[in-house]
Amino acid sequence: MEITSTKHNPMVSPHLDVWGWDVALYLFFSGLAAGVLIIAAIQYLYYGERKMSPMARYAVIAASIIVPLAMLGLLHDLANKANILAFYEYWNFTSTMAVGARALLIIPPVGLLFGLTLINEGLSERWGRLKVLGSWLKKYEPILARLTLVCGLFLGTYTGILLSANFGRPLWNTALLPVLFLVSGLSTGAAAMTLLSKDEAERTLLTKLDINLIVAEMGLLFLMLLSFALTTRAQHDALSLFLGGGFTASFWVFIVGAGLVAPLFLEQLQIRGKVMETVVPSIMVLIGGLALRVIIVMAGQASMIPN
Amino acid sequence: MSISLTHKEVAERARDETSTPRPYWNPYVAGIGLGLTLVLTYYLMGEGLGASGAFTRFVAAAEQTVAPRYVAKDPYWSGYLSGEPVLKAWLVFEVLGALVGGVIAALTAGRFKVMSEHGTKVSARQRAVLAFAGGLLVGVATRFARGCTSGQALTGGSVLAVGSWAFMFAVFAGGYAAAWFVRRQWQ
Amino acid sequence: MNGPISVNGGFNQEVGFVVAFIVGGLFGFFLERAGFGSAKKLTAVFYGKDMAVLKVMFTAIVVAMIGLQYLGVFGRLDMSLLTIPPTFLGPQIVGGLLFGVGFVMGGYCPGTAVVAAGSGRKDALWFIGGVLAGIALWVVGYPSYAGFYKSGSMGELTIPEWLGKSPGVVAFFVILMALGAFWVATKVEQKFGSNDEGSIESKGSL
Repeated sequence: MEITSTKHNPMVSPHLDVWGWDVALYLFFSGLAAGVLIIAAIQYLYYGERKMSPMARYAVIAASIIVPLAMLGLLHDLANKANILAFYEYWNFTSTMAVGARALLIIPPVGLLFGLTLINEGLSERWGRLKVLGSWLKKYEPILARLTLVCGLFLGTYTGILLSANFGRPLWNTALLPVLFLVSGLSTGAAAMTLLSKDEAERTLLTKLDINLIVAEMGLLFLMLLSFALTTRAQHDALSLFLGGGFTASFWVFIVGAGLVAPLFLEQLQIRGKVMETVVPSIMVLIGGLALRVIIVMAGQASMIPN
Repeated sequence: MSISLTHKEVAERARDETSTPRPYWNPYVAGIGLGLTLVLTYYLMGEGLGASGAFTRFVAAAEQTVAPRYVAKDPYWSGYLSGEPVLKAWLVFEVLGALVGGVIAALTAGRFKVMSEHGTKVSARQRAVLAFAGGLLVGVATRFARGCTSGQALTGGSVLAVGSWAFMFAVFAGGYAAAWFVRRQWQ
Repeated sequence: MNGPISVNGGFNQEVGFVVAFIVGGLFGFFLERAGFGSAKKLTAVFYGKDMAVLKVMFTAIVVAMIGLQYLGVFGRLDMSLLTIPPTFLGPQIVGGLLFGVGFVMGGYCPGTAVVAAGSGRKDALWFIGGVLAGIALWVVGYPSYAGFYKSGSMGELTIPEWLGKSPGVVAFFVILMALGAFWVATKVEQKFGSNDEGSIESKGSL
């Protein structure tokens, strides 16, 4: 079944509430995986393979597995046939979406092959053919790293494009949304890697990176709100959802307060040695990233073009 | 943003600055801070601070998710809840704020530590049992009293509510009466 | 605009939630700084070792009481619009006694348990679990004590109304009582007190 994203479809207007928690979780995990792939690929290309920790190597494999798992997560209830239908609705959304969904299928194998070459040295003989494959691929490693980088950038942006391609939803229909989701995905990816890292130097580096990402994300959010304020009436209405409307509290409390300002403050103090290192800021960043997806998905469905 | 410290310097500094927790504030200074917060709250919102009300709403939300029909029929819940989503409430956001404020205060004072607090004569497991049992009593008590030390004693006390002062004196009476029986926990 | 701002239309409910988060943050911050994230510090008041709970509590009540009456007298705050906890004398005394027992046993009260959990205390998580379970249990048994729960209703009664005195006179006696309590508390601390204030290293196990 094909559904259109314009107002002619009764499922889209006046109330589009076919998208819920499951979509938000999918966007969150895909963004996180994209962030990990990009950070690891840049680490490889910029600092060289030898500087990569075991955590960063295995994170590439984990992220590559998360991508298809997150997609399958949308099919969480296979026994329910209506949900399978819903799945096709999502993916045949528009033809660009269908193309995008197919392009996503390339990401897991590329990431897995790159991860395999990264962990090949430590792989025991027990893994036989995989180890042989890994050593053969070793000479293509730089190419795989670049491909992984491209895949990560595509995936991170795609999670935003999925929403921003809905012309009937003023809150989503902004070119800034894919960039915002990419940066937020990088931030959650860095936070997840910080939580898993056993190396102090690596954690410090990731925290410094995350500080810059949070600042960038705050700037992007501000620009997005500003662009809403300065453009059409429909987007003005979308803005008012966060400035006094039904999503004001969740936006400022979970995304801005607990998800950006508080972790930025704590990470800044941590990097200067003023507070001890804890998991607290990383967890806040992850909660904030999830809140961003949930609230944008929910609020977007409440936002529409006025008649 | 100039971040010039190496990770080793950061780690050393963090160890120096956070190895000994900073002393608590003078109780009168902290009390003034809390009092002014309460004045600000009343001035902005017309109501005071609280905590147990948020806990009650968490319970209601959990029960509503698991058994919506039971909650709708229950004599207490149906009187307690209005049409709004249970968690969209002033106290819920206030308590979330208190959690974040508490984390930041503990971290910046070097007091954040994953541990269980008790004396040397009891184990962490015994402490967990006592904490849970004490929590159980407190949970029951807050529903009888319609509030806790925040919503009744502090808030109600400052607006001179009769019942709130009665509650506060009863809390001290109950605490002093029971203190002897659980003294080993803190020794 | 005169207070209460939200009641007088200064902002709507959604903005009120953001305000709630911010004042809650201040609340949690000051509670932690007072030492209320520590079960040992909190319960020490019941053993006369450290009377900080009493000092902080009465200072906060006195400051808030004076601040609110000051704003009211100068017309900045409409006192009649404030939410005042209604009095149900019997249930509140019974609840208070139970609360006190639970407090010294569990080591926390609901608000301080949130702050303690934020400071990493695992026992605070157990306590919070207990509170949630206690509330759920109470609701199950509610029909059997619904009558008692609603008994002794006196409405939003304040001490000045009850005694027929002006709020200023009552406030004066509350301040005197608080000063007396501070003096007694300091004497008690001198007799039973310990000097390990602020050190948490010796007070717990992982």
